[in-house]
Amino acid sequence: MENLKSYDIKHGIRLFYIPTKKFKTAAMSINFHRALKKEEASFNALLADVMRRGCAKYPDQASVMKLRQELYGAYFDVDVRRKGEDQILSFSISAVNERFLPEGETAFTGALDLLFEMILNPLVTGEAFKSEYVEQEKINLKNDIDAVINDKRSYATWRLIELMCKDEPYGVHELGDKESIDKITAESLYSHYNKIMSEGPVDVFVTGDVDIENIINVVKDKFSNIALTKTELPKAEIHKPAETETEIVETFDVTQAKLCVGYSTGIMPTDPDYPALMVYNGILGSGAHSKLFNNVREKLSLAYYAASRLDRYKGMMVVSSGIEIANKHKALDEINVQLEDIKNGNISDYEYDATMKSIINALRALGDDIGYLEDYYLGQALSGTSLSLEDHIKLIEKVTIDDVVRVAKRIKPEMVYFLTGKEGK
Amino acid sequence: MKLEKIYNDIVKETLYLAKHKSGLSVYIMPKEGYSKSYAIFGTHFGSIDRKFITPGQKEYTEIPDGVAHFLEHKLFEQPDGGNVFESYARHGANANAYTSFNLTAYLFESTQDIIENLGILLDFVRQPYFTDENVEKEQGIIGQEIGMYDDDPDWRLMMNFLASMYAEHPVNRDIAGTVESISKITKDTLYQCYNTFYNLSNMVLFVIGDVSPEAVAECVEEHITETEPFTEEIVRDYGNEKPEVLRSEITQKLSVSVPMFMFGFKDTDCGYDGKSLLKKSLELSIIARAIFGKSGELYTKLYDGGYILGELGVEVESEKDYGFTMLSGESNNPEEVKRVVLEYLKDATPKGIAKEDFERIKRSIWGQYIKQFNNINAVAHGFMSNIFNNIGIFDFVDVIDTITLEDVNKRFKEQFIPELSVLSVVEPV
Repeated sequence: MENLKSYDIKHGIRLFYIPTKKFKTAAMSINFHRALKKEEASFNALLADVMRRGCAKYPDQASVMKLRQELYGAYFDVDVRRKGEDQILSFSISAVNERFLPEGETAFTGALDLLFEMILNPLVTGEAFKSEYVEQEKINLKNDIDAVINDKRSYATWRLIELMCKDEPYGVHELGDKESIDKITAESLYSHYNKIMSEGPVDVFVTGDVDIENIINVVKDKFSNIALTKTELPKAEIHKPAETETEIVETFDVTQAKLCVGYSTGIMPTDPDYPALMVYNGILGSGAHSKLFNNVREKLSLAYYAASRLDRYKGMMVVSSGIEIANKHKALDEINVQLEDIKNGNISDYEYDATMKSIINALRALGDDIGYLEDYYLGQALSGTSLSLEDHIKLIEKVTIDDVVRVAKRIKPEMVYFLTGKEGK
Repeated sequence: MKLEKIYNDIVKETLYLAKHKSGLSVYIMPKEGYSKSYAIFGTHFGSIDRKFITPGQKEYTEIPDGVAHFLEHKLFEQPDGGNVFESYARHGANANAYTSFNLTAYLFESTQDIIENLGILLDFVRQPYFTDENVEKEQGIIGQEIGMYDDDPDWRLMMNFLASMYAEHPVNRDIAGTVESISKITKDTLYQCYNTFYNLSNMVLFVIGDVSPEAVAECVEEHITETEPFTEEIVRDYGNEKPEVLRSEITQKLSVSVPMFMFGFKDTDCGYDGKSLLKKSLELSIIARAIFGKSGELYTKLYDGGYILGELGVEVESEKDYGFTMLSGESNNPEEVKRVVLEYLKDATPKGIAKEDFERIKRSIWGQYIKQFNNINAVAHGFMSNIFNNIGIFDFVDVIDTITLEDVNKRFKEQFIPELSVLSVVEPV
């Protein structure tokens, strides 16, 4: 299985290399870590959108795309994502390995050049980004924020988290908010860019079959004029559980309802009980062997989907389901029955075995996907656990049913969120 | 069962193939270094197969909409009351199934017990168990699923688009059918379709990943002992689709933040399969990238001009009997997007695509073909949809070099005309 090698490039910049020959492409990403907070989230999101448009050397989308096509369909993108309370601005590339190209051709070198041009030499006039790009991307970003409601399944889960964490950075959306976006100018965005380029920290990930010494030299050279002040990753604080349970109902023009329940687990990835929490979540609601799937969905036909997932970095868990509007109380009762069952140790050998196999299977399969592999190691760095896939599997293998029952007792329901149709109020 | 081996030096992959005496076609692609295996067992039976002649019979059978999908759900019900998901889960596999317009497929992925899991797959798909009661129960479950699609703006946008483009061809109907159409399904309908489309000569098994081809072949031999392959083809009737579109515009209101649109052109040059179909599909991909992609002038006009909000999606669909090229995105004024696109095409079609754009985009498509072999799930899904069109996984390598700029520009001129276009819009309530 693929293991990670790490290198210190300079103060605030680390490089992680996952050597593997099995992929036909090589991939690289440069990740700028920013503490997730309301005042800054919109800046980071907008920066990704504006910088994606072009750089000094390739000043618009058409010239970037033409270069990518020339490089045998090389990939390039800029995005922001959230991991715990870290908002990560990522610039990534991937390109076909030269073993698969005609003699003498290369694609990765050209993509690598594009990557650094986009990061280090943006399209700037004076002390500002190109204002047409900034104004237009402000409109598009506000539209993206509005569009979060279009997919009701993911919206309902997000809305629950937002409500549960309204006083914590975790309740800040990675796209920011419309009021903050309105206030951003081409000048203020450029000074934000300069701030990011002087703070860090930065993690570089390289995956594939590459000449890593050469890449390290390129990275050192390109970043030679950059001096970063921060080396610590922005780590999430554990969720502070609410004193009382609350219920929120919101209505939309829909025919089916979404029912979500939020819990605090009190267990962070560094907690010795975290592997047991993963098994708990698997038994409860992750996959076709889980209690939610078999009881709420299959046996009682109360939901078209019913699943649980952990918010790994925050000590939280969310159960989500899609149900008929009239089935709200029945579905909620049945979800509670499943949680109580685990607490009382009603876990069959099958539920336990299938969950163990499913988690181990998923961890092993991560190694077959460049993107997941990189994401896994980034997550490990952020939670301060630094576990290889093999070591992670070993920890899961040690979890017993007693461990799961012990963990179950730490889980506290906190909020019910019900997204329903106009009649279902 | 004798395994034939094909090695492709360009992508550096090996495919093993065999024809089992039952008529089943078996394909295996070992992937060195991968932990996971993915197996997919598919039948050439999709939602569009609603009128057909079963080999050995004389008359057409016409079935309600949604049977292929219904049958997919019902196959998970086992005669002994056993739960297929449970059998898989005991061996660490993650299982699923899907029905498209053209096929039904059952699949699993796992990093362990591949041969045991393959046995489960081969067995359960060949053990139908339909009763009046279990059919009735499923009508309720699928009814709910249909309700979920009714709220899904992307899905509605797509179905409205197809229902407007096609007057006759059954791709104009929802894959799952309607609450009304599925109420007409009985256990007899299911058995008749099963006995027609699940004959192994109408099915394909594809296994990719950390597998031994010999072990897969042995497993097939062990589990499949019956041999009653059809000697004739299943005759399929997709109606008499005329070249023109049914309606050029359609709008629906749903709970969305901003209007969403799909705008596309009907492909009227249909009816072939194999390498000819692949060639056409690649020609259309080149047109789609050159004309509608980010490297082209039209994209810049639509994006920089603020006609679209964010990115424009471009998709080409090329099946044996239907096809289209489609743009999708969000816009405050989809009508304006349509106007700008048609106006641009009026000038662009006579000029055609430039030689340098053509060459550059061919390189890009070439790279993407190589890259797709990274993802074994994607290879498996692509393999299945291509194989029922008689397109092999390495055919790309032969076909890409036969494509000429003249052919591409001829197709561009003929098919991207206003009369063949459809605009589907989902507006906020």
